[in-house]
Amino acid sequence: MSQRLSVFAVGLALTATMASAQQLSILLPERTRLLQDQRIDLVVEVRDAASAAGLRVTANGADITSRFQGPVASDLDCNGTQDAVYRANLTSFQDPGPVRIIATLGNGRAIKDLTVQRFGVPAKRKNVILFIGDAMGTAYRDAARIVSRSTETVPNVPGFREGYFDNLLEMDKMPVSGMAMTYAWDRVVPDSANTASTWSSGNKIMYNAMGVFPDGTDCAWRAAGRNSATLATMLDNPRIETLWEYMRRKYNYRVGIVSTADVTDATPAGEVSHTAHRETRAAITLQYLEHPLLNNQPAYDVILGGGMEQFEANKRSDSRDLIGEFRSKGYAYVTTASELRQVNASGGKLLGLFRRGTDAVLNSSGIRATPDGNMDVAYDKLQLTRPGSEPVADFNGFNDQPFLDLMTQKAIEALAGPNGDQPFMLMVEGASIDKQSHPNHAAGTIWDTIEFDKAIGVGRAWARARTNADTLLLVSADHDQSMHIIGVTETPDTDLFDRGSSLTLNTNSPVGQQSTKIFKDSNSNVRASYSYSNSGGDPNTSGREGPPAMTYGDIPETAGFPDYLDENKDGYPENRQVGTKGMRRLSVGFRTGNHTGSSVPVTAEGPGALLFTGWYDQGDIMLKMAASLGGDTKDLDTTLNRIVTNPDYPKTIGK
Amino acid sequence: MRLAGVLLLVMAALGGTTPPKLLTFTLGEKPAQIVSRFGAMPNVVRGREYTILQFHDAGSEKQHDCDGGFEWEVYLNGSGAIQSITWNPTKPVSVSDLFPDRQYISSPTTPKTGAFVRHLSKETLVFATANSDDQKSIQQATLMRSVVADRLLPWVTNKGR
Repeated sequence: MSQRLSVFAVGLALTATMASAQQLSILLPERTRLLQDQRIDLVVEVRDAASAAGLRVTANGADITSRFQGPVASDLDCNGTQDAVYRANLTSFQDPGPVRIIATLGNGRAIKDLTVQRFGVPAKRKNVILFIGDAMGTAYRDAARIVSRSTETVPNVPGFREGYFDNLLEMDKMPVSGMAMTYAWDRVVPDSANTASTWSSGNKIMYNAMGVFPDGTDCAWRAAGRNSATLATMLDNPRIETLWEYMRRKYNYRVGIVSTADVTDATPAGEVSHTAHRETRAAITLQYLEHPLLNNQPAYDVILGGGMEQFEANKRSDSRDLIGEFRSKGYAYVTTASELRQVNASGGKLLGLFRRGTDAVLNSSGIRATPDGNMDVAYDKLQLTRPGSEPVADFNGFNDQPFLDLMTQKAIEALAGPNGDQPFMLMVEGASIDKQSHPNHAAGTIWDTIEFDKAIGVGRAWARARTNADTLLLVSADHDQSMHIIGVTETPDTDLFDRGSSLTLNTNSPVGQQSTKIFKDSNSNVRASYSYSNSGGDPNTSGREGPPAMTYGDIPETAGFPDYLDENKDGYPENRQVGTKGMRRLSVGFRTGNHTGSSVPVTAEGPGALLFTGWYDQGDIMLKMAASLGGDTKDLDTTLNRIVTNPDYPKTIGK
Repeated sequence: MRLAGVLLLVMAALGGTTPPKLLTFTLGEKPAQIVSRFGAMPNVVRGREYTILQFHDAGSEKQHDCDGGFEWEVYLNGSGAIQSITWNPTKPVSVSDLFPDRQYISSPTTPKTGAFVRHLSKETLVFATANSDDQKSIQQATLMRSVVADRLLPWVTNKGR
């Protein structure tokens, strides 16, 4: 388990008559759900183990004790008691249906129930492209639609008239919708790590963790900080295989990730990483290269995004040159949009790292380089003028970064191969929808959602061009954030937002008199109303919390729709006034600078898409993807086609 | 333990400098006192036999996703006694601010890994992992009961030297 462990002395006799009841724990969540042969580390912890020998474990009555190794001494809970651990690493179950695991030792006993879902791939294999807009709740989709599709997509047609869009977003046009609940294993408001692992593994994961369940040595890194000294206790947790790993191991699927974040950030890492904390970046990157569940072979065929520093010898605590090592394994390596356009990686392996963190150095914790080398956002790559409340871009010399649509196109080409016949799974992340929403940068987050939608368009076009409808396309978010579209449309700049001043607002009891900062976003037709902090400060003294947005001031609300202009027809409105166009704007407000616990939308297209209707748990997404990949979805797909094509059924305008 | 904290404050006052906030804790505080010191209600993480009180989420103030980026993490054992306080400063802190003697101990097993260590009393110590002994700044430091450090990180406490 950790460096503090040593194997118990052989010959510890079972002295049940002397021992009190052993405290046994099987480290699986309640209601664990697995596919046939999906692997987990089955771990049994024994607390106060004066005698830890003699463990017996059964699965549906069959003795599986021989799979376990141990006992290994440990100080579980960091309380100085004598404890022990048994492990059966990478265990799986072959028969579909319920499985009851019973562990006994002395007079101690533990029981866990899990469920195994049938799985087998058809002769004609299918693909999955999962698009994740990080934090892309409903308001983010709505805002991107209003900004980008209220422009003239047809000459002299405003795009948004009488309450209808003439041309909806790509993700809007997908025929099936559902909603996913995003709760973490241990809290209502999740982060990007546990959510990614949930849709990847089918099970709830604890906050900040990826592909592992909690264990009794988590106390060590909780108490002594997350650093190189406690790294072993962050990497020893019971692992669960993800669908990405599963399809690669069992069916030789090609897999890839595309992200505008550091590629070791939680969403791109969540498909294959196993760690109790997402900050263990050096270890995560190493898992990409030498994956412990894939015979120490690379986890991904395609990696595109930021985070160059995580791969560089002088930024890593192990001094390994991972870029060089990937290249030696046959990966084409690119660092700019120009190189990406030119590279021919069809059917091959591709590593593209387009950004290094500004002043990136190895963090003194020894487990990561810092700061994150996230790629720059669409708004800046387009060289649009940032609103006054948002920072001016600093590309740190990385002036030729690709957009997400190009990255997606190249990733699909690489994974599917020249004939398009190599089965694959790809995750594409619009990362800075979230990263720009944390500091409440409205323009940054909305234009990144537009960029993300264009990547979805690439995936849809590729899938629809195929002779067989063999590619499931999914669009969802890991979690929501707090942006909302608020009722201050068409408000003159002079009425809004001067970043340099603080305005005292009088509001009704019990809120009382508040002081809060409001921002003026010149040269912008989209802006935050004002920023709420969730710092926990006392609103009566810190001035960091304000009243609800709708109680603010006497802003005149007017009727009408935004009239953004897309002069160069690149699909990205320029966000400025030109003549009489671009005068009316969208205003959004942020209640916090952090995630929310709201459910997130899912849209689906392709084989098995109909499975994604309804309101369900985020972990169901993995099981539904598996059902699409492995099951016969013909009846579902025929039904959906009838719904979509039957002229007697209503059709959404703009779809 | 409390005396050590008071002494640090007095020494700092005499020297005209303000000690890092981490060193003003004694680990003898009650949870309610900790909450009072930070002036905010914490985010609480509960484990099987521990509780973490987290203060000052930096998430909303950074431009990237930094979930869980709390500046302060207070670790309580199952009895509610504070065992350690970890400080994740928002900006790097000079090593000499916390470790004027720059006592550095290398990890016996992991290359490029070590820790600056300072024994504040018989009962408490502060340590910060580092990648080399000539490192100028640190980005994390932990104040911990020595008895806990002896169990968790014996090479850091250099017990038995």
